[in-house]
Amino acid sequence: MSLPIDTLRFQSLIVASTATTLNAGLYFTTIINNGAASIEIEQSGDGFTTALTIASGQGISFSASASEVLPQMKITTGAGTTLVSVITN
Amino acid sequence: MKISFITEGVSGGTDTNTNLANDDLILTDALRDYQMSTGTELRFINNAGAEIMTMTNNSKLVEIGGSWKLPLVKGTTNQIPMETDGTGAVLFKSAVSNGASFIILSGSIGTLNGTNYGFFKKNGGGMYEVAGLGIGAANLVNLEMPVWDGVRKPVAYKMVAMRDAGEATGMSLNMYFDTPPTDTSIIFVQGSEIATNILGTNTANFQYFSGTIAASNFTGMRDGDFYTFGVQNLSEDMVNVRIWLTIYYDTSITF
Repeated sequence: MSLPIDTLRFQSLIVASTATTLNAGLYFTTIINNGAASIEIEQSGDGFTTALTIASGQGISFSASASEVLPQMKITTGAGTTLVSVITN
Repeated sequence: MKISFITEGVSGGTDTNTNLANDDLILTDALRDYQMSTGTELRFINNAGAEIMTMTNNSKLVEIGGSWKLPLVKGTTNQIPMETDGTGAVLFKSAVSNGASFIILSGSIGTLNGTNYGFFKKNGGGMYEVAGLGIGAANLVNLEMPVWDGVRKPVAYKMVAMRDAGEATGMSLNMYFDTPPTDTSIIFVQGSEIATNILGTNTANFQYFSGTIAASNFTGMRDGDFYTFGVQNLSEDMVNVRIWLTIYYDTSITF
C-alpha cells in the first residue's frame, strides 16, 4: 500500500514592502529570499514583537515538532526588487 | 520545532562572494576585490577558448589578446607613450605640443607693377611676378610650392617686408592653389585674403606683420593640389619689394 501524498503550496511574494500572513497550523514552511533587499519574519508566539531578518539570497525553513503546529507568521518584503518564495504544506 | 537556514545554492548571492560568476560582482554598493594567488593568472577567454585578457598576479601586468601588455605607468601632463619594449615598460615623451612645423619663404621684386601678383621662388631671390593667375609648368616648377596633403594645416604667418617710400597703398597676402589639370598650365585660385595691410605704410624701412590663417583662407583646396603663398599689389607700382615670410602649421595632424 502506497503512502498518502503530502500537500505542498507554493507562493511567490513579489510586491515590495508588503506583509503576508501565514496562518497558524502549518507543519512546515520554507521561506527563500531571492530579492535584492532583506525581508523580515515575525510570529505570534511573541506577539509579533521581534522580527527575524533574512538577508538577500538566504532562506529559512521551519518544521513543527511532532504533535505541534507552527504559530502564525508574517513575512514582510523589503524595498526594491522583490521575489520571496514560500513553500508550506 | 526544527529550523534550518538556507545559505547556499540560492540565486541572488551567497555569503562567500568569492565566485566570479556570483551576482554580487555586479552590485554597485560596495567594492569587490578578487584576490589572486601567487604565481597565477586570471584569464578572460572567448567561447572558443582564445585569450581576450589576462591579468598576472606577480607582474601585475594586464595583457590583451595574448600579446599586448599594457604599460604599468602613466605619463605626466602632456606626455604620450612613445616607445615600448614589449614587456609592459613604456617610455613617455612630451607630446608634440610645441613642435609646429613651418616653411620659410623670401624674395624680392624690383618693381611690382599695378595689381600684379608676386610668388616666391625656390631658394629665395627674385620673385615671380605675373599679371594673371594662369601659370605654365615652366614657371610653376620654380615656385616654392608644396602639394596639399589635407592634414597639415597652416595656421599663422609672420612677415618682415620692405618697399620703397612711394605712393603704393600696399599688398595683400594670400594662398593660391589649384588641382594639376591634364595639360601643362594651371590657373591658380586665390583664397580669401589673409591680410591686406602688407606694406601699407609709406616708408622704406622694415615693416612687421603677423596674424592667423583660417580654413576660410583656403576653402576649396583639395588633397593633391599645388598650393603656395603669394602677394598681390593693391594699386600703384611698388618698388624694391623684399619679403621674408614664415608660415606656421598646426601642431596637431588630423587624419
